[in-house]
Amino acid sequence: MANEIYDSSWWGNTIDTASSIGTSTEMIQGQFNINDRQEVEAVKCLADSIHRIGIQDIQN
Amino acid sequence: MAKPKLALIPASQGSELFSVLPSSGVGDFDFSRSGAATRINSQGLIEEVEDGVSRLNYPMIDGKVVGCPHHILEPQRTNLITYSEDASQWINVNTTISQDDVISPDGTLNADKFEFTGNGSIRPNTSQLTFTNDYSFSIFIKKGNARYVTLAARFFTSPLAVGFDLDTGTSQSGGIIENYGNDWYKLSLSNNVTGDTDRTGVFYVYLPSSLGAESSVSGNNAYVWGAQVEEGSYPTSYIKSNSGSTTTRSAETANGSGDASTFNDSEGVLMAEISALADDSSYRSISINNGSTSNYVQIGFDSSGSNKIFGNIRPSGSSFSVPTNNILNFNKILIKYKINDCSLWINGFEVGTDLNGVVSSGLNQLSFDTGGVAKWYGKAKQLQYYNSALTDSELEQISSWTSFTDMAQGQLYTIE
Repeated sequence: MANEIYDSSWWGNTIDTASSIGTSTEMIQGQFNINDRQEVEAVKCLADSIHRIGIQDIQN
Repeated sequence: MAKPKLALIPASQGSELFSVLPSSGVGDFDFSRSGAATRINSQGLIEEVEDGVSRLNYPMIDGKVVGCPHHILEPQRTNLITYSEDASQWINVNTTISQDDVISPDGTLNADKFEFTGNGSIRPNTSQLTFTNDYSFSIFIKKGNARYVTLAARFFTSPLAVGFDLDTGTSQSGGIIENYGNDWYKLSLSNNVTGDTDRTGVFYVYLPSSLGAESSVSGNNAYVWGAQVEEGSYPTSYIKSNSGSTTTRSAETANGSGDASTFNDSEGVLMAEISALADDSSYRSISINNGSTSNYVQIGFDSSGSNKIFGNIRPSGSSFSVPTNNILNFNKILIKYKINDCSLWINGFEVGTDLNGVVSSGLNQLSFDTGGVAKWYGKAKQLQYYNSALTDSELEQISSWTSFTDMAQGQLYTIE
């Protein structure tokens, strides 16, 4: 079920990603704010990249 | 801590290239292009993008979209064909044209069938075309009953003919064949005619009985769409030109990302995951700069030789120029700048160091150029900027592939 939300929903993406990248709130805010400026087409790609950067942040 | 100050992850089209960090939007790039252009959309179809709108282009492997999109920036080109999607308007010999016979690569019923009634040819250009130095000829072909296609460019002293095999998806030397799915292939060739007597030529398509022959067999047929002849040493994305005159897509620019508070003059890291449009030894730079050509931190493709990547820091700092396997694949390139501690990394490896380096001053924007010159054309999958120098471990991590799939897709490998 989680994967379905992750793949298809903007809000689901953000919620799913947020739980993994902990304190990096600016990235979550950045994800929301892009969608305010322009509709995001590659939703999952954006969320995956933010997730990767977030993991990288935690690891270091 | 390895969190970027600025991050561009291509996910939207619009009047800007939208950066996810900083969240305020100060990292967005001002984008410009006059004239429409086309992209490969998420369904793998060629789609027209309006004047002034940036392009999110999806990579294709074996005719299918694979992986996340990139931004594509291209130089100005003009499609010299005046009816690029209507073969009935071309100069055809011993040919029957059936208009709008099959679905084209743009997903609509607008591709024509052509069948030879004798030894003939189809010729998209209705008048002779003259070039200064280089030309590129490209056309989309879907197999009918003929296995081979020949593209020919007839010039007075520099003719060129290249054979393509639609069964194997291969071409003779000098040709490029790209799979667009649903049995459609983009066939192309390029040549330099600087030494030609009059540099004026015409462009033909044949359906021969053997690879590379400049003749057609009666009864052979195929489908055709999207003819393009352009001045330039490599073919660019399709420019729709179907209203009776030539059509120009102007050069694309993207700059003005960030401000003085975004960038640290003393130390930092710029990373880009990018590929080139052609290995043509052109100087293509992405830089943090102060709006001039004197103060910058830049990375990009080098003009000093084939498949070379560079990193430079100015006014008087480090210079790196390093060969890599293939700049047509996506490479992760990173430059670190700090007084007496500068380095260049490619795909997880440190490939150059300078322990006597100096740094720039007044850095206030990230651009797909350097002070308006050395403009960058290519495909960009991500940009990241860090306002501290980071450790070697962090630099290795940031410039490495994060998974086997990530690496394979970046190199356009097929995984079976």
